[in-house]
Amino acid sequence: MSAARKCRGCGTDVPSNAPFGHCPKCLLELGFGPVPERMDAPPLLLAKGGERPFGDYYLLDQIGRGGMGVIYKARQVTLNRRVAIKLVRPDELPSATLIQRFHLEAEAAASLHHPNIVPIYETGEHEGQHFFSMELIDGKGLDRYITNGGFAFGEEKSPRSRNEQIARIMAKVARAVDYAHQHGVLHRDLKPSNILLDAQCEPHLTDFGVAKVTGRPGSSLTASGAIMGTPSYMAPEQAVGKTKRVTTAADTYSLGAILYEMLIGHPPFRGDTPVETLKQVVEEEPRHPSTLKDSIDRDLATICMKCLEKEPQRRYASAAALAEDLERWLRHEPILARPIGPLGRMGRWCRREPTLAGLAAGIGVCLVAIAVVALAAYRNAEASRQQLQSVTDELIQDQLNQLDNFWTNSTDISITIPSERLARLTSRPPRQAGTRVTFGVYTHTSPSDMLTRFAPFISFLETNTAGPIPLRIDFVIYRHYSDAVQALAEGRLGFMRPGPGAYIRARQRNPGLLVLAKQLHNGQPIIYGVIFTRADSGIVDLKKDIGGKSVASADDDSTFGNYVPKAYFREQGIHMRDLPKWKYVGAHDETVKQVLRGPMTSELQTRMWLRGLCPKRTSR
Amino acid sequence: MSTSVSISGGGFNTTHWSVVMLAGQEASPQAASALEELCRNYWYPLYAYARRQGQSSADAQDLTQQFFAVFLEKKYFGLANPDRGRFRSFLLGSFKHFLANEYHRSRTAKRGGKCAFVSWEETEAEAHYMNEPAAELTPDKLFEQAWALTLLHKVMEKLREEHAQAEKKEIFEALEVLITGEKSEVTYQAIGERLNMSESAVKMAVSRLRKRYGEMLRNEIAQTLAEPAGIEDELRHLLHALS
Repeated sequence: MSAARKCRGCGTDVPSNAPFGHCPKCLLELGFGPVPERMDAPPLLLAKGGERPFGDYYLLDQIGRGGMGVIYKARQVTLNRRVAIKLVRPDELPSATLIQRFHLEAEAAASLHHPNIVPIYETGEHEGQHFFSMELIDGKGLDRYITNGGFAFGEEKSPRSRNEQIARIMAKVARAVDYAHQHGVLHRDLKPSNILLDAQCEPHLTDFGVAKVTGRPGSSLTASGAIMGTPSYMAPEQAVGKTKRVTTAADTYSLGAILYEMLIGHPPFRGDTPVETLKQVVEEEPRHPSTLKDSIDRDLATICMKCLEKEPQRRYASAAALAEDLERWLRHEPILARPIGPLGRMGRWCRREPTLAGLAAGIGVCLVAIAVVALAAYRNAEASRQQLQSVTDELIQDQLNQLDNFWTNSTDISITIPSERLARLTSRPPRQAGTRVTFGVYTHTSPSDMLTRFAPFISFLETNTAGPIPLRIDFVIYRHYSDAVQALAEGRLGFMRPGPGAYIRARQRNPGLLVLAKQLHNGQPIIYGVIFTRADSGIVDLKKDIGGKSVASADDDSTFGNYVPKAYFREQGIHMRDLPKWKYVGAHDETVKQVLRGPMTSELQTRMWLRGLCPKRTSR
Repeated sequence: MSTSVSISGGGFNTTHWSVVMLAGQEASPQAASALEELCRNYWYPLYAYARRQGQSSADAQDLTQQFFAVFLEKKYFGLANPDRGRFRSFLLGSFKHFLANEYHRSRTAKRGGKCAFVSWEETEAEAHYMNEPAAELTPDKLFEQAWALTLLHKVMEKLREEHAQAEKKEIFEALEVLITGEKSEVTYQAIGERLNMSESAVKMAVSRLRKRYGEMLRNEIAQTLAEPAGIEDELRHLLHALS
């Protein structure tokens, strides 16, 4: 399944088979018309204005929305006070995990009583709608006060007094974050818009939507490895999805990123896409603020850079330590953070470029000390590579999305992904030589879906056909089934895997096409594995390699399902050369062994019939 | 485009499903054609349900076809069924009943040569199914999602058809992208220039298009309900189904 895009209207995923490509939820909403007929009903998608009764509250205006919920300004009837109320989006209701996360947020924040954390009043459920209410802060997000020149609040100030204002705000926020840490709560999504500034420029920390309550099983309800938070403010260890490694130091990093933005006017990293930003967060060093702006206070820049260290243990030991350094600066005392010297910078370079550093050390150009650092870096290289893998995955996803977009916007009948490109997508070296054959599939909507499903299968075929002639398989995706069949019939395509169920029609249209295998499970046809080839496929070179009896079958659920029948035949003592009509390929011994000991073993129960070989099942 | 069917000759206009329900077991030609039209429109969710239950593509096709053969004979209409008010629920309930009890019998009947078919493009069905979300959805949930998407697609097609008949195909094609307001990279101004219309005229036209879609959607939903008063509830239900 290809990655769904997000609807810009309601923020939910738009499925790839959406009607005319439109967000189905937004289309459905058109059916409600401008005024819902049932005023007592829970608000739908919560996007409409007007006062609306909701239990003890009257919902007034929508003032914000996040991934999980919508925030309203509201009036609490019994206490006659104005509050902010956050509701789970009703379209998200069926997810128990989400509701649990929603209440966890309320719970995380409700356990915190700090003057700079927005207090939670009440949490509950009304007519099936989950909500919590909190203090209504009369102010705006910190992000609203940041321009290209940096942070500015109120009348124009001298650089020093502006910096003092920044340091004062950030010291308070850091104290609040430290208080949360002391109570076992990590925020994990600190960013300017989650800090509200009231009219007195007093900060109030809010939105514990992705918070984690430490030391409690099941309290981290994010999917394993999922990246939570906002890329520009996210610590590297968080950016690579290593949620277990995310500690209080990740929040300290985010505080540094916010401080950076307040000083400079933009966060330390900002790519064209979120993925690009994440990549920068993981791989690049932030530019020192003083290289970007002359008037930057050197000490504040040093404090900021200490927060932004890639390695958590090199940051401040706690958010409180950050607050203390900021307070020292405010009192004109020397700060504890030290600027990075030339040796430190070299160490960083070694960690980023272990190979080059190792080379440099090897030819004796560098100091011995650097060689030691490089050696340590070598040891870390594997771990770093693994961390980067998740970022790379995201990049590949980006390419897949581009492929889908291309498909949507072009009128080409097919698209070919050459063997070499497939190799890169599956992170293996491309085959340097070999006979080219083509393998075709068709899809109306999502070539990336086909590609992700078949790339491993094709890789496996390429790397396991160990005969005299190696194969290079080009993958062709057709828009229409008929074009693919036509190509197969005309010999432009070597193999084809049509959609299951289409085979009857195809055979009717072209008797020269053969259905080679069909799998049954416990007598029930739950899986169809069908691959077509022509009886006279004329793939001469392939013949030499796999006996000219080209066959492969894939099923809906397993990339390697096609090897099951081969193993089955072996088990039954059937020799491929004995097959009278159905030219079933004899698998390489190694392949069969792999199947027999591999994860597919349980599926060896799979029974299959080949017409002309086994008796045809009369019930069908 | 007919959105209502008149029965009893008394000018009593009502919707398809209510026609079928009112007609009950009687052999009314209006009811028969209304039912057939409903089946033709909403076969895919059943197919997807059968596929998600583990049936192969070919078997899902067979099962769905055989079910319709039985269903069109209105065999299930006499059963006490609390879901009768909604075609959607009634259809799925009957299908489950069919799968549990009647599949084998109906297959025998088919061999005898007695069957009716609802025609569809099976290749398209499977291509469509291959794009359904991966296995985490239950067959019931997938049915409901497929139902909602089929419905929305149907309405969009009707809207397009309506414009084509009024010789406004070009306008529909230009404005359709703005119907949900989510594809905001297209500006009203750019579309206006293409259609030789002012920006405000485009806005007005988009607003009309949305309103019309909304009306047609309600109308389409009403056709699947015995009591048109339940439209809001059905809309809410479908919204949840898409979550």
